[in-house]
Amino acid sequence: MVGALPAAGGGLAVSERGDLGIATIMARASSTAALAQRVAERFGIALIDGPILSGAGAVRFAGTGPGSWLSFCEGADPFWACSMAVQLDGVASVFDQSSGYAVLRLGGAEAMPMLQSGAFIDLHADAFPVGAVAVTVIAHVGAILIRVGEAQFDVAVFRSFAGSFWHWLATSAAARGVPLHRFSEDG
Amino acid sequence: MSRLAAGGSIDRRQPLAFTFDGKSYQGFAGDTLASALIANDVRLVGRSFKYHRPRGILTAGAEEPNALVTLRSGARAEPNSKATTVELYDGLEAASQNRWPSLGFDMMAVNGLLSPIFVAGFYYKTFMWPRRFWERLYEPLIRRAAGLGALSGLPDPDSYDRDHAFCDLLVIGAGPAGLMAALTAGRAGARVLIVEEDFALGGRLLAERHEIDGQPAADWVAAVAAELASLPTVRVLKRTTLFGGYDSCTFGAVEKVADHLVTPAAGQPRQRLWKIAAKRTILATGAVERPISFGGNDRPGVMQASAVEAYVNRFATAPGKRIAIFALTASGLRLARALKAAGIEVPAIVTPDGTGDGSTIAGMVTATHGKTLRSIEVSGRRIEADILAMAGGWNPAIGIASHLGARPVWDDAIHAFVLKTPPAGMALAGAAAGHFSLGEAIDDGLREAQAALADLGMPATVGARPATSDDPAGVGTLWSVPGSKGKAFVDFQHDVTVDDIALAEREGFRSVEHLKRYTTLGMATDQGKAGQVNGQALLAAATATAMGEKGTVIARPPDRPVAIGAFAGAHTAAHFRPVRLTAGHAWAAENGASFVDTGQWKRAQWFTRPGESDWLESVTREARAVRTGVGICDVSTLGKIEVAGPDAATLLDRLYTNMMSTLPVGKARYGLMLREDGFVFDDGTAARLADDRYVISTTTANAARVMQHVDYCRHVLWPELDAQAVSVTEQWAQVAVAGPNARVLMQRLLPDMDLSNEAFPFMASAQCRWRDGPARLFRLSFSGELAYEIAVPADRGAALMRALTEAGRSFGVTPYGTEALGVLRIEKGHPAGNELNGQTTAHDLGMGRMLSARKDFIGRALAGRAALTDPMRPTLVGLKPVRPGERVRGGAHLLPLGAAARAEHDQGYVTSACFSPVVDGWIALGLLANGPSRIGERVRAVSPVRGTDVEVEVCSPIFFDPEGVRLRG
Amino acid sequence: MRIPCPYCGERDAHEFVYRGDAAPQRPDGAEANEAAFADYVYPRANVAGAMHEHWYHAQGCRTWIVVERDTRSHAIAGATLAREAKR
Repeated sequence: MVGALPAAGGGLAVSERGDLGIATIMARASSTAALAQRVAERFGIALIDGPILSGAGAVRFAGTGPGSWLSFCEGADPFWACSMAVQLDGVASVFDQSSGYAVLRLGGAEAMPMLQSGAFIDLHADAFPVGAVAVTVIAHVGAILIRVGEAQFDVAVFRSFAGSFWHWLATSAAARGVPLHRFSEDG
Repeated sequence: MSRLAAGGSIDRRQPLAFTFDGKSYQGFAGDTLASALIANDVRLVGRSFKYHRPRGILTAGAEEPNALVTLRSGARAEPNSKATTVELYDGLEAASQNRWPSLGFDMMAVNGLLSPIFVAGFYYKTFMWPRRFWERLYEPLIRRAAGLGALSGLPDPDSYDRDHAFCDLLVIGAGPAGLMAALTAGRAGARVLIVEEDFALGGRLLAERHEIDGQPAADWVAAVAAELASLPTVRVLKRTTLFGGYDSCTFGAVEKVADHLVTPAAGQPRQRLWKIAAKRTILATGAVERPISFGGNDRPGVMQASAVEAYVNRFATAPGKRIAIFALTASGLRLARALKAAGIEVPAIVTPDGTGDGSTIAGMVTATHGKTLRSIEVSGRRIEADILAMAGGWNPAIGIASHLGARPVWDDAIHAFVLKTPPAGMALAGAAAGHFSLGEAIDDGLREAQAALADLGMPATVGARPATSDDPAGVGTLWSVPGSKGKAFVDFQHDVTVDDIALAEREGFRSVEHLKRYTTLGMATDQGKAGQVNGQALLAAATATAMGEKGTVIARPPDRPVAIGAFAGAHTAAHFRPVRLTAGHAWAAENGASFVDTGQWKRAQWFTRPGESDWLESVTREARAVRTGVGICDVSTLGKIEVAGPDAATLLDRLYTNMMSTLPVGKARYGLMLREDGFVFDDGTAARLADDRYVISTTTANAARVMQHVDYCRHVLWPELDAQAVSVTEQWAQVAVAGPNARVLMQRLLPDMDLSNEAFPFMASAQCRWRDGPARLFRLSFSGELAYEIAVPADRGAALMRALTEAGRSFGVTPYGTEALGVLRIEKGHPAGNELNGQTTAHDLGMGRMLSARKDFIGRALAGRAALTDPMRPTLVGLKPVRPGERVRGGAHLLPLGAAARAEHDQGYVTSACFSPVVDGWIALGLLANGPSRIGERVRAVSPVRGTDVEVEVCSPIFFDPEGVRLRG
Repeated sequence: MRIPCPYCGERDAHEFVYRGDAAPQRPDGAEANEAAFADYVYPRANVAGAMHEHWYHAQGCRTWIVVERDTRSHAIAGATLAREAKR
C-alpha cells in the first residue's frame, strides 16, 4: 500500500489512512459558539470556524465550510459517528462519512509540488501553512487538502473517485520522475 | 556553408545532425531549425497557402508566416511548426509542407498564373452554388489544394502535464526590460515568475550588439540569469509560451518540456500547461518588425532586418553574401554595421528620404528578381543582392494585454498601435510599451517593478540602473511602394496582397473586422503578427481615415497556437473524465456485468451468463427472475442526502410537493420536487430516521443538482430554518432486493429483525445492524414486487453483495442491471429519467394529486398555470402494438391513424420502450395529448429516424399488477 | 476568473456554479399568486455594470454566496455569504 519512503526526505511517499472514523459536523443555527464550547469541554479542542485544522490528538476537526467541519478520529469503531452525535446533541448535526472518503497521506519533498500541479490554490507555506485546510478540486475530482506537516498532506476524496484520483497521482508522479506503487484496495 | 567562423550563442563543440526533406545537414546546439537551414544554405523552405509561391525564411521568431514545416514523422508528426522557433536537436527530422510533388517544382503553382480569380473573397464568390456541390466537391478540393500541413491521423503517443503557479509578479518575456524587472522584484524578495518562450534568456540582446555596464550585453544577460537562479523566490521558466490573459490576473502558458528531444523520456510529458495567478504582471514581450509592401516582397531572400541581425549576431550565420537593406527605421540602418563587422558585403542601403550616411540611396525597392533573390530594383536600377533586409517599423507585441478587451490606440510618434490602458494589475515595459531603445527598456523594467512592489506594499531596494550603450530608435512609415512591379504581399501566409485590400475596400468591406474576414488577413497560424497592421494602414489610406479612427482588430487567446493535447492533459481516452465506481463494482465485473455510463458513474447494465449471446436474452432472464424469484441490484448511485435539525421537516415540506412533516419515524414516502417554474425537477423517497432527521434519495443524474438546490433553499431562500443537510451518497452502498423471495433472503441476512408484513410493512424504514456495523433497511419497490433496499457503509458494500449472493444461492438469487430495472419499472408505469425530462409537469405524469393544497412549496404557484394543467398536454399513457410481435421504439412520435406524418399532426411521443416478459411483447410509455381519456384508442407510433411506423393501442401505463398486491405482500 | 469566497479565500471560477441575479426575492407563503411568482422567476434586468449575483461554491465549501461583479469588466468588488446577505 505504500511507496517506500524515499531517502533523505526527497521524493514522494503515499499511504492510505484506513482506520479513520469520519463525520460531517454542522452547527445548528446560531450555535457555533455553543458547539465550540461543547467541543472544548468534551475534547479539549479550541474549535475554529474557518478552513483550519483544530485539534492535535486522536480526534480532529477540519473546517470545510461556514459552521461545518469534517471530523476525523483515528482507530474509530463503526458506531463512532453515533457517539459523536450524542456528544454534540443539541448544538450540531452529525453525519457519518466514515466510508465516504478515501484519505491518502502524501509526504516528502515532492508532495507539495505534486499537489500544486493539481490544485489551483496557492500551497506556498506562507499562504497554506501547517494546519491549513482547503476544499478544492484536483483533476476534476473534489479533494479536501490538509497540511499536516511542512512536507506532509492528507488528501480526502470521495471513495468512488479513488481510482481516477490515483490515476492522476500516478501520471503526475511519472511526469516528475517520482516512483509510486499502487496501494491495495479493499474491494 | 554560411556559418561564420566565430561569434554567436551557438556551441560549436556540440554538432547536431538533422534532416530536412530527407536530406542530412548539421547544425549546432543553440541553433533553431531556421538558423541551421540558413547555415546550410537552404533558401527555399515552403510554398504559400493560396498561390503556392516559393517562400523562404522571413523572420527569426514566432511571427514567421512562411517557414512552416512538419516536425517529426509518424504519430509524432507536428504540422505547421515554425522553423524559426524550433530548437535544433540531434536527430531532428523536418519536412516542408504545402507542395506537391516536390518543394522545387509545385504543380499547384499554376494558381499563381490564375491569380486574377484568386482575389479577396474568391471562395465566397465562386463556390456558392449549386449548393449540393459544396460538401462533396468544393470543400475537399479547396482543402486539398490550399491546406497547410496534415495531421498524422494517429493517436498522440505523448503525455501532457499540468501545473499551477502563484506569484507576486509575473514577468512575460526575458529581454532587457523583463530581466531588469524580474531582477528588481526578485532582489526585493517578491515571488517572481518570469516566462520566456525562447530556450535562451535575453530576447533581442542576443541578436543585437549592445553594451550594458560596459560589457557585452550577452555577458550581462548571463550574469542576470545566474543571479535570478540564485534568488529563492524567483522562478524562471524557459521554453514557455504565455498564450492567454484571462480575468483576475490569471494566465495560461505552455512549457515545452521535451520538444527539444527526439522523444520524451519514459513518463516525461512533452509539454506542460501552466495556469498562473499573479498579483501584478509586467508585459515585456517586445515588438515585431513589420515587412514593407513592395513588388515581389515574398521572394525567398527577402527577410526582416531584425531577423538578418539575429542570424548574423546570435546564430553566427551569413544569410547571404550580398545583403541589401531597405529601411524605415534606425534599427535597420544599424544592421549595416553588424553585417560589415561580419565581413558581409552590403551593396545598397535604401531609405525613402535618403536618411543615413552618405552612401544611402534615396528611393524605394519596387521589384525583386530571381527564383531565390538575385537582384532588387530601386528607381528602375537593378542592384545585385541575394538577401534584402527590410526594416518596416515595429509593432509592439500587446496581444496578451488586449485579451481582456483593452483596445489599442494609434501612436503617431512611433507609427504603431500601443496600449495606453492595460488591464488592472498589468504594466507594459520596453518595446511592448512602444519604447524601442535599450535604455528605455532597462528604465521601464526597473520602474515598473518598483511600482509593482510599492503596490504590493513590499519595500523596493534601490538598485543601480545599469549604464547602456546608445541605441537610436527612430521609426518612419511607408505602407505601400508606388510603382511596384508584381504582387506586393501584406499577409504572407494567407497570400493577401496590397491589391486585395484595395478590392475589399471597393466592395464595401471598410471596417478592419470586415476586412479581416473578407480577405482572411491575419487569420492564418501567425495570426497576422507580421502583416496585419500594414493591411489596416492600407485600408485606412484607401478610406481616407486616420489610423487611430480605423483601429485594429480584437485580439483573443491563444496568442500562439497551442496543441490540443496540452489542454487535455491527463484527461484522455478512459480517463477523459473522472470515473465513479460503486463499492460493488469489482463484484459486478466478476459476475459478468457490462457497464453503462450514468453521468460519471459506471453502472451494471446487465450480467451476461454463459451461453447468452444477446443482451436482450440476459435482460429478459433478469427481469423474469425478479418476478418469479428474487433479484439484487446495486442502487448505490442514487443520490442520498441527509437532512437534520429542528426544522428539517419544514424544509422538506417546502422542497417536496407533498407533505413530509406528517411522515412518522420509521416510515418512507415517495416525493416529487418541482422547479420554481412548476415543472418536475426530480423524484425520490424520503425516510424519517428520527424526529429531526430524514434521509432523502434523488435520481442518479440529478444528485448534485438536488444537493445544490437543498443548499440554495437553506442558504438563500430560508436561512432562518434550523436545518442542516449533506450528501451521504458516498457513505452508503445500497442494494435493492426484489421478488417474491425477497423476504426470505433478507431474513437470512438479518436474522434478528422481524420482517413480517405486520412488523415491517410496505414503505417501512429502520436503522439496524448488519455484522456489528450500522445498516439501514427500507421497504421500497421500484419493480412492483415485494422488495427491500438495504444500505451499509460503502467499505462493506462488496461484502454485502457477496453475502446476499451466498444467502440466496439456494433459491437462485439473480443480480440484475439497469436494463432489467428499466423493464420492471416500465411494466409498472413508474416514470424515470426519460419522463422526468424537464418538460413534464406533475399532471403530465399522472401525479397531479401529489400537489398539496395545504402548504407552500417550490413550484406551487406556477404549476397551477392554466397552460400547465391543460388536459390537452401530452400526458403519460401506456402503449401496446396492435399486431403482436411488433416493436415500438423510444422517440417515435404519436399521430392519429390516417394522419400524414407531419409536425402539425404530432400528438406526443414514446418516452420509454422495452420487451416485457410478463406481457410477452414490446410495450412502451409515452406522452400523448389528452392521454388518459383515450385509453383503448389506436394511434400510430412513427419514427422517421428509424423508419418505423407501428400501430399501437393506448392503455394504462401500469401493465402489471395494477392493484399493487405484490409489493404489499 | 478568481472569486473571493468569504470562507475559502480566492478560488478559480471553475469551482463555482453560477445562478444569476441575487435581487429577486421569492414571494413566500401560500397566498402569493401566479403573477408574483412569474415576476420572480422570469424577467431579469440585463445589467451592464455592477451586479449582485448568486454563485454556489460547489467544489469548495458548498455555500451559496453573493458576488458583486461588474458585468462589463468582470471586476469583482467583493463577496458575502448569502445567508448573511439576507440578514
